[in-house]
Formats: sequence, structure tokens, C-alpha cells
Amino acid sequence: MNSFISTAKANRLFWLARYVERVFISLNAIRKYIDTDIDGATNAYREFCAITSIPNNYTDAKDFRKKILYDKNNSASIYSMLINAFDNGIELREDITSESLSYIHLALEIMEKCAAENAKIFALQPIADYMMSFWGSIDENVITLTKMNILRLGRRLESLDMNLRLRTNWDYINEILKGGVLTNANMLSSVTDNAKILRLKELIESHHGENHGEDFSEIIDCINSLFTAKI
Amino acid sequence: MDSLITQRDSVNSWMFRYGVRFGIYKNGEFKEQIFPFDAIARKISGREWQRLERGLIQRVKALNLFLNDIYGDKKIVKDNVVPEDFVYSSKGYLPFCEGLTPPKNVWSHISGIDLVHGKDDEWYILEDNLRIPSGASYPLIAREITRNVSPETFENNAICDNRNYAQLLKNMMEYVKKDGINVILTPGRYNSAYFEHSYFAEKTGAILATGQDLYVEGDKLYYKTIGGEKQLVGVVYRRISDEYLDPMVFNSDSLIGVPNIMQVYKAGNVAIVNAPGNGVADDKGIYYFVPKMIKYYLNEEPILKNAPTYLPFYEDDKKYVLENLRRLVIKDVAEAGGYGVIFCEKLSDEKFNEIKNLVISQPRRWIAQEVVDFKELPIFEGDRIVERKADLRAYVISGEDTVVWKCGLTRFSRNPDSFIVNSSQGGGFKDTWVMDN
Repeated sequence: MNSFISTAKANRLFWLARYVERVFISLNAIRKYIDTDIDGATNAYREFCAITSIPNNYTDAKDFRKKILYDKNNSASIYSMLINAFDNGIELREDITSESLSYIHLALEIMEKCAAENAKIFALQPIADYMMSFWGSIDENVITLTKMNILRLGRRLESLDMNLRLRTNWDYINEILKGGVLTNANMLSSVTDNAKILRLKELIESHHGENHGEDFSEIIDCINSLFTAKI
Repeated sequence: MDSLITQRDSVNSWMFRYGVRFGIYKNGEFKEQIFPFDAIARKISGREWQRLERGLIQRVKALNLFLNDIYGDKKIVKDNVVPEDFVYSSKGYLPFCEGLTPPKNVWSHISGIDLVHGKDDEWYILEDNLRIPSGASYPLIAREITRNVSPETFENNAICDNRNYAQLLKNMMEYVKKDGINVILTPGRYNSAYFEHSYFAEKTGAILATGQDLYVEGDKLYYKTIGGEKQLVGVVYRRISDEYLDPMVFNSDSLIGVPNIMQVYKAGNVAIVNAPGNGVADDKGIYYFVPKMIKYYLNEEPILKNAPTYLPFYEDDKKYVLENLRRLVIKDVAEAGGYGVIFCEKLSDEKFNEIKNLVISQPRRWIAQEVVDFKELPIFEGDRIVERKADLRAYVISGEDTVVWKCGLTRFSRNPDSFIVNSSQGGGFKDTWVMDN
């Protein structure tokens, strides 16, 4: 495996990691909201749309279930996220290895079948499994430090973003920030904005667990702009 | 082989898993599709292979000498062995390369030689591909998968290992390269052979780059890395055809090439694999002269035969072609990929006369060949075995030595009435087993 990486590939690695993580976290989160809606009339999906900042274009819980999973033209859907992961991954075979890429191929195969059948969400469990396998394969096969750090940074930033939105407990968010985001960002000084990193740290620490405070949009802006390798 | 055949669905699911696909454009839309794999391998005995190997090495050596001569002293033209019309009117001839000598004097580093096995048991060369021969990745990954799916097949058959292809490529690149890193230059994801580009980058440890990742500064070629650092490039295995390689020298509209890369090449600071300008030697018209080249440069008799070929450029040949056109196959020398191949016996009278007039009016544009009745191979169609026409692309790697990869891409037609085996026209592929006996 070569150790050099262009800006375009760095950007793809970063977004590959973000989309793979987004698929995994979103799938688990949506499962919980769909479960809440089973008992009827709660329309919990509306809350999901609000906290994840996606447009609520759904007529009801049933429509949400179908489109949030299988509408590949809906950028918020799991299908669309998986395609985005694939579109980045396909251009990184030599960086992440065929084995790692194969888990995304396998996940897409499941998605295509399930979308054709409008299958229930439990049928998508192999996709979550493949996303975990993908990370296992990355840990095993990607030995170049810069590439690994970019992947880890993308993964942890996405995790931070999603868990903030999903109001996960504060200790967990703090661990993602310190153990994941800051550690990896500090090792990528040539492609990260140090001022944004410090501001992100300051903002999150000042929240003391109030995940959706006034500064939330600035937190999200820091997450989205601290990695500076753009195509 | 029975175990492998019963597990052919497993093989195909592994192919899917690894994304073994090729892209085609249909109605202006890019689509990726599976290259259909047939589990019944083509077997070539060790003895037969030895003869093929000697013939292929002989041929590629002669073609490399021809390229060196054409862009250098032109002795073969001066000695009237190859008419200059066929050299300088060839689309593949690049005046820019006049007087250039590629690093280590290797022009065709990777040669894809297409052969068919005639029913007379003779192997015939159909075509030389010296520009960007593709396809080796398919039997390579197929072997890796089939060994996993059916290890007993390989325990019970003495089959030569083919897993050294990436190492052969890497050794060749290391041999010809100048100072710097190894790069595979791809037009990008929407190229029909993108899988192969990325797979070889993975297997050889080269960097897969697009034109936008490379730039020229002071007669040197660099790869741009993150943080503004640059890496000197020593060899470019380009998967972009000559005309798109450098917009400053060739097609100025090219967005996929690297501006001024030819200046770096001319200065001797980078090796380009395969060398620009090779198209003059794999022109369908030049094909006719390859046996003569072998005699001229090597003073040897050709070991492998061309399919019987006629050049309407020569009056005697034109007369023969016009008299026998109905049973001949006519090929447009400017076409590739199975296009421009016309089986005259199948033409309507109107179309036949049209082609006949074209042969008369543009004799340089065509070659005519006897239809080689080549062997059919068994393939699976559904659950039954049928016979289909198949060819073989052999890969010859020229670096410090000239070696033939002990495998090859066996392509077959899925249409029972067709001789055209190209993947772009719906063909499938098989592994090629060179037997170790």
C-alpha cells in the first residue's frame, strides 16, 4: 500500500468514513423511532426529522418508514447514504483494500434487494453488521498513519455530530470529542483548522451536557469545516 | 473441475463482492455490469504453452525493435520491408516521438496478443495490442476466488500459478522507472476498465492518480499530496490513450491528461508505460508485416502464424480480395474492440457492394482475412453446456526480460452465431489454466 495521498483522496477518505458511520448510527436511531411509532399516533418520526435537521416531507409514519430507508433520491435516506459511501469508496480501493470495499458492495446488495421488496427494517441488520466489518477490515488493512487518521477523524466527527443531535449522554459525547476527534485532528495538522478545533472543544465543554443550546449551529459548523482537504 | 463447476454460483457471488465489473456506455449513459465468468477453464498443456511462450516472446521482441527503428533509423522502411505509407499514414504514428528513446529502450512493456486456436490445431495471432491492453485483472482475481471456493480443484490438477502478475508489473515498472514513485494514471471512475486500474494499483502498491493529481514543474513530473507537498514521479503506467495524454501536444480538449507530461518524457525524466507512439505497431495494417519483422530483426522464422491476411493496398492482394470477398472477413484498420469487423458472407447484396467499393476507393483502410475456423469451448448457459467461439489474450511483459504471464484472458461469445468475443459486445470470460506438465 502506498503512503502518499492527494487532497482529492483525503477528502474522499474523510467522507467515506462519515457516510459509513452515518449509515450505522442512522440505522440504529431510525429503528428506535420506528419502534416508538408502532404503537400508533405518536408520529415520533417528526421528532427524528427535527433533531437531525432533515426536511419532514413525509405524509405519515408509514411513508417515513419507506422513504427514510429506501428512497435513494432522498439525501436523508439510508440508501442514499450508502450510495455516497460507495461513491467515495470505489475511488479508494488501493487505499482501503478490496476487502474493506467489499463490505460496502455487500451492504449495497442487501439494500437493493430490501428496497425492491420494501422490506421491514430488521432485514437491514446485515448492513449494520457490514459497516462494523468494514471498520474491522480498515483497522486490519490500512497501515498508513495519515490515511487511518483521516478515516478515524471522519468517523468520530460524524459520530459527534449524530450523537449531539440524538442527545446521547454527555459523558459519551465528551469521550468522542477527546478520545476520537481531538486525538486524530491533532495528528492531521496540515489538513485541519486548529482554530476550529479549539472552538469546537470550547463550545462543547461549555455546554455541560446541554446538547442543543444556542451554540449548536456553530458546533455543527466547526464539525463540518475543521477538515480542510477539499476537492 | 467438477467441484468448481458445482460451486460456480459461489464464484460469481465473490466476483460481485469484489466489484469485478466493467463499465459500458449505452445511449450516453454509463453502466457498470458484471463480466460474465464461466467456471469451465480453458486448459493449455505445458508443452503447447512452451511453444506459445516462445512465439509470443519472439513476436513482442520484434515489435519492440520495430518501434525503436520506426522512431529512430527507419531501416525497415529504407530496406522496403514495410512500405512507408503504412507507417506514416497510421493513426498510431506520433511525429512527436521521432528520435525519442524510452527508458531502458522498452516500448511495449505490456503487450496483449490475441490468438485463436484453429480447428487445424494451429494457434493464429489475430491482433497485437501494444497501447493499453486491458483484461488481465479478470483471470487474476478469478483464480484467487476459484482457489478459495474450490481448493480441491487446484490440489488435484497441476495448474501453473498465475498470481505473480502484479509482481511482474511491479518488477517491470521498477526496472524502467526514473527517480520517483510509481503511478497508475486513470481517466477516472467512469472508464470501462476502472476496476482494473484500481485493482492493479492495490496489488502493485502504485498510486492511482487522475490527471488532476499530477503536474509538471521544470521538466519533472510530480504527484500533489495533501498539505502542498509534492512527490517526484518516476514511472506512469497510463491507462489513457495517446491522444488524451498531454493536451499541450495531442488533443488540446483533453481534460484527463497531464499538461506537458510529454516534455518530461522527452527530457528522460519519467517512464511512460506503454510508450507513446506504440499505436503504429499494433495497427491492423502493420499486423500483416509482423512475420516479416521477425525475419528482418531477429533473423528467425516466425513461430506463431498470423491469420492469412491480405492487404488491398497491394494490387495482387486487392485483386484476390475482390474476387473472394464473399468468404473473407474485412477489418477497418482504424477500429478496435470488435468494431469494424465485417463478415462478408453475411452481408446483403447492397451492403456487400458498398464494402467492395470502399475497398477499391480506400485500399489502405482495410485488411482482409480468411475466416479462421477456430475451436469452440464449452461454456455453461443456464444449466446446460453449450459450445461457443473463444479467443485468448496472452500478456507479455517486457522489462529486464520479456516474459509471458502463465495465464491469459479467454473470452467467449455468448451468441452461438458470433465470432465476436469482446466484453463490450456481451462476451464472457474464463480462466486459462496452463498445465504444469
